[in-house]
Amino acid sequence: MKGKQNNIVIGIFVEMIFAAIVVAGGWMISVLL
Amino acid sequence: MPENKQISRFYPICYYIGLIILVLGCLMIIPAVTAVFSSEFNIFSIFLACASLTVMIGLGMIMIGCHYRQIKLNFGEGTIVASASWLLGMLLCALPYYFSGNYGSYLDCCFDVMSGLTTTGVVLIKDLDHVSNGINMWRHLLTFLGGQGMVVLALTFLSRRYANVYMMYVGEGKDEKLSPNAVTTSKSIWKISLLYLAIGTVVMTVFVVHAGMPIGEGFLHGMWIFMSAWSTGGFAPMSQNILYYHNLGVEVGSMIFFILGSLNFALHYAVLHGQRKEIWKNIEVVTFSITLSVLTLIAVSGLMQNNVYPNVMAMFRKGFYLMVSGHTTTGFMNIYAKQFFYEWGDIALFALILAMLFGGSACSTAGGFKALRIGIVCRAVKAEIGKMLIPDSRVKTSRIHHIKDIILSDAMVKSACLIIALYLLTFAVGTLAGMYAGYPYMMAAFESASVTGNVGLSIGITSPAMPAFLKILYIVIMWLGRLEFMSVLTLIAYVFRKVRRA
Repeated sequence: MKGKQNNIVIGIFVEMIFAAIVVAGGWMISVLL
Repeated sequence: MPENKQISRFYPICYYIGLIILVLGCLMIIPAVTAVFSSEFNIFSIFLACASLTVMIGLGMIMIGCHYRQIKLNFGEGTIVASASWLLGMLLCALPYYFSGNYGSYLDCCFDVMSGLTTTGVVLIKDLDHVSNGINMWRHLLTFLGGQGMVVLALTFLSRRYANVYMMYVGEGKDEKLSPNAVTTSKSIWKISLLYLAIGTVVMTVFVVHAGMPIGEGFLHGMWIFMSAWSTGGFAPMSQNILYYHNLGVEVGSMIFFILGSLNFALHYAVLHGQRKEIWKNIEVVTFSITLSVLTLIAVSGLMQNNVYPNVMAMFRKGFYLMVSGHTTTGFMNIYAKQFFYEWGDIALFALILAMLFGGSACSTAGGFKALRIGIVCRAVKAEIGKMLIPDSRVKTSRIHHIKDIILSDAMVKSACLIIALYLLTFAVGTLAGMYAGYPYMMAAFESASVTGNVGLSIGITSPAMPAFLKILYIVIMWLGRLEFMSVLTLIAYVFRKVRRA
């Protein structure tokens, strides 16, 4: 049960990192151009 | 059981539509409770009356069909239940809007309900800044429901006929199995969404309160913005949409949640159950990242050519935000509608129109062609070119990675091409209708792409003053786009056949 909860917490963290990378990519494009 | 086979098929369809209508009626209690807490007793009585009527209609349909509920529906009948319940649901969910006095006509109410349920986000409501909390809750609840799938929600909790539920699940435009049967799949979708609802409401409330809103009102705004962002809906409680808050935190926070909302539920399920690397190699994520990067580059170069946003921060907060909002089919706006037409220029608008048509992931809350189909078509083109370069005697198979490695088949390519062709045809019809209504080509194409992809960005055409035929056409286009054509076309064929036999 605890392992399942850990998976969910880490999974949410991984998804947030992905979304943050997309946002950071947009910032980079704005800066570079 | 009636002897006539055609008549007997009508009853189970009626039964399942009744179940869905019953759930919609029960859900009207949520805005009614919100109205009580906000001391809006007139709105409370409207919701109570509309909920009673909707529940009675639902129960009536259940009683008509309950003796035949054991009949197994075929695929076509499952899709008819999905599309017909969206249509009847629209007519009933529009009643509270109509009696609230915030709309010019019942057609406008139906337009806004369909816009909400399909997670489009274009609105015809009048004086949105002074709309009651009860009505605002109903608007955002509809878009949240529509995003996850209202048919599946109803049937998950009220039906034990798993095979029938799967037919309707597919009919509602979702075709991924997260677990062996449709009921547990649907429960998983709702668990993921409710988990994010809790996290997102807290995060967005903090940002909205930081932007200067009192905590009570800030909580409601935070929750509604999250519901809209996660469902890639585009509704907001204020007429200026996200521009109202003038806050970087609200913009970045909402952007993160609508990017996550546009991801496939099967991908969420895999990542939350330990397959973390999936997010970096899934074909939809790769396709989305490439198309977003290329289209953003095109849009930014177009905006720079016209010198629309003179500094990096403005380019990021307006240009990039709106590109992501369009590509994920969310439709949150932080500029005025007319600024697209007068400031953005043709190159940036072209990139945004393409982004709106491409859309998010399959089996997500997003609309458009879907990244999975674009990925399949691109891989098929690559495979065809590859075939020309190898000897005839050699056989080479192409694969895509979506949760697991899948061999690319001709049937998958054909299905992807068919749906993309139907989207393009619908987009062309919408553009033509806009031009007939007297709007310039670029405006008509922009608004048509927005409703076809269930996006919600507006260039200024959608307003209570637009012609009635355009409102009706946009309702149909939103409905077609959301259910991915086949369910609606099956319903139309079913009705035509009934009329011809009568």
